[in-house]
Amino acid sequence: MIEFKAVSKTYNGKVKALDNMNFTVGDGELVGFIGPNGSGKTTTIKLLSGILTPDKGTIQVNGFDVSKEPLKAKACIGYIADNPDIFLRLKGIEFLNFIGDVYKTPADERKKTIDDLAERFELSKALNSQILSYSHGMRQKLMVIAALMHKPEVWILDEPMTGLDPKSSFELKALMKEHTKAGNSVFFSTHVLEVAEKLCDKVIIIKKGHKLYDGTLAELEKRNKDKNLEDIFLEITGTK
Amino acid sequence: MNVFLQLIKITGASVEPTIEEKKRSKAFGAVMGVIIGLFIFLPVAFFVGFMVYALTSGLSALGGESNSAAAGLKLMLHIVTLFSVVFGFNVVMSVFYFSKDLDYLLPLPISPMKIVGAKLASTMISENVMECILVISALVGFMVGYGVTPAGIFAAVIAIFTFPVLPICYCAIVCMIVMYFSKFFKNKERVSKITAFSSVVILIALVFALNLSNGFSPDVFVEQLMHNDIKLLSVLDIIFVNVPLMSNAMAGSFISLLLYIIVNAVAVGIVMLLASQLYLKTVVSINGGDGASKYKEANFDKAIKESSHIETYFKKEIKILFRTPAYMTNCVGINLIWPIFIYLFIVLQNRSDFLSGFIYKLQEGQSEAILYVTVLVFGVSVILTSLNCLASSAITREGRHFEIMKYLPVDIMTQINSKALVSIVISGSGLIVYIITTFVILKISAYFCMFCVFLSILSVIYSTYLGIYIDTINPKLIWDDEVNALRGNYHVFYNMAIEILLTAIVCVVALGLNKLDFLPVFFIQNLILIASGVMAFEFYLLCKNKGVKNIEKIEM
Repeated sequence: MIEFKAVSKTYNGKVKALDNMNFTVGDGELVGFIGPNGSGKTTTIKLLSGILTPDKGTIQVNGFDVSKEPLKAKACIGYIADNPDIFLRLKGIEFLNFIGDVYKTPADERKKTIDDLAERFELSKALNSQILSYSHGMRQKLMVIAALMHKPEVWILDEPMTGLDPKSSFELKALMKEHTKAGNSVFFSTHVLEVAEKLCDKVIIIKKGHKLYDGTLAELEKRNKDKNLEDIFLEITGTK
Repeated sequence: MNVFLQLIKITGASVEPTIEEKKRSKAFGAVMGVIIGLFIFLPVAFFVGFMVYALTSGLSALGGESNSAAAGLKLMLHIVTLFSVVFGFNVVMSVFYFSKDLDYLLPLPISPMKIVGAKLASTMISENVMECILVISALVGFMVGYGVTPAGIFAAVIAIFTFPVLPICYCAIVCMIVMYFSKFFKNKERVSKITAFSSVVILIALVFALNLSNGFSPDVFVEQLMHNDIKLLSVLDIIFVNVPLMSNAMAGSFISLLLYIIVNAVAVGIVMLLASQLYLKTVVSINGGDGASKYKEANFDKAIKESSHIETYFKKEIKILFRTPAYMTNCVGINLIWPIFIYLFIVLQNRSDFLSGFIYKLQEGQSEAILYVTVLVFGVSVILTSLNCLASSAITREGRHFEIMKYLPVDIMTQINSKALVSIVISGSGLIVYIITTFVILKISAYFCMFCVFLSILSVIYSTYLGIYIDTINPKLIWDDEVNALRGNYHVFYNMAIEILLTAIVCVVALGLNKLDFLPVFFIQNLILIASGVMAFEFYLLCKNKGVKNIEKIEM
């Protein structure tokens, strides 16, 4: 469960990235976060994951306030950043073991999850090599495995499909669906409207730090008959 | 703006602070600039200037031609040039062949000569700051010793702006030829390791070539210098022909100055010629990728083990440090060159009455000698810890993935402590080995040895937490190459300047107290121990209270 209440964020006291943003991602919900470049998607995700601090408002993850109880809130989150180039000198397996230690995942559980996910993402054969030698897609897959290893209740993913091959992208989408079916929450940003269309229970559309729409895609299409999703998005965001 | 000037700006950007970093550090940078100027640049400049002045006056007093009077200047300029070449190779390789800007520059319709020209210029500019100070100091020292002439001033102005040209051109020429003809060097890791190894070899060669290993007599050395009787210098005169030419120009030879300008111009011309013929082919083949990598399957039973937060962060830091050539060289490897100086000290003490007398006093437990060594151990421990920049680059090394410090559910102070532990273990273990080895060889009491080891550990802890705190204030997180994370990181200098200042205060107070006859040396020694313990604790608290907040405030 994610609760984002009246959150504002300004950079350097000048650039308003988010203005009084409110939304909720309930248990069992898969929510897509859509908006043009510079609309505040990454800022929102960084606020959720505790990287940034809000100027105003409160952010709660599974009942834990991200500002007041950051460690407890972060422990519930599986976060995939938009840049997978992390600790490139570590071997894949070393990175995963490090993340396992950070989230205090028991060794047996770690082995099982890594084995399962590495197989699904076809990464098993590369785990003993340094991340530096991985392609962008392989690094992204490693980040997905790392984020999911401690079985977090809330997934927060920033452009998770970028760089993934079709099979891995399919696997990740399947995992996201499985996760929400089990009663957990998934919140992810994307530029690809088709992904949002096929995957999400709900979408949130933002522009220049303001929420423009928060609801199901079916509702949105109902309101805008005879228009495809792309046209609706461009109309709402005023980019057409 | 002219394309060439734009290129210089772009290629030099990775070693410059970003606008955000500049904003964060305006006032801090100004204060630190003054401290660095006073406690690093000024002492170094004074030392270099004084050495050249002393050699010049000594040689002038011995008589002979003007050329022999400039031999001291020549020696210093050779040392500066040698270090420029040693460090230059790594920088040229990195800037010319492995920098990220090539991904954007290569597809543009810009001639390879322009790219190389811009990269050559930005390398020289980045190399020139410290070198400029050394060259100016050497030139001033020479003019004070030899006399100021209009020709000397004119030559000096030219030298200040152009002195790095030939050494950097040599690096560029060698790099371009080697990279074109050998596949072996088209690997950044390998190049970094080889240059690091070469630096140590050159240092050892320098020590031996200057006959330092067989003892050192200033009189004999000056005599040899005057008659150009040092083999290494004669060889260097041929390789770095700009040095004797500039030395002679400073002594009034206009022809030498003219030749100096011609030599530099020819060197730049050769670089440009090679650039047009060799550069593009090589750089394209490097940036085209390494082909299919061979991956290895992991042994889960071996690789997956549970560890505490501090242990896992410590292991992660150590692996990254040892596997990244730039960190391995500058942060870890640098700790291995100090035995050369210990060796020198031990050799010299057999030849020097002063040193052997001092060692004798130490062996006898004479109080003043013991105090001097206590002060030395304290100062050396602090300064060597700051020199390896493990602490002062601890946050900077996170680079663009700094945010991981914030989104993982681990307390920031735990992460700082694990970084501190890395610095303490690497710096401390080296110092402990060096102290024990030196004391055993010189047969100094075991009790005093243990005291020095304990003092050294406390000093390392103090230096480490101070270094980390300074890096939390405004870490340089945007860099495209690990070398730039260290080279472009002013915190290394800031940290060193503050630590030299604090160390100087403690040492001056300790030596001042020694003048008060009623205070026993034992008391002053323990005062130094307590001072380093208190500082270690205070800087730990500073990291805990303010350093953590500094990190929390950083927004990329």
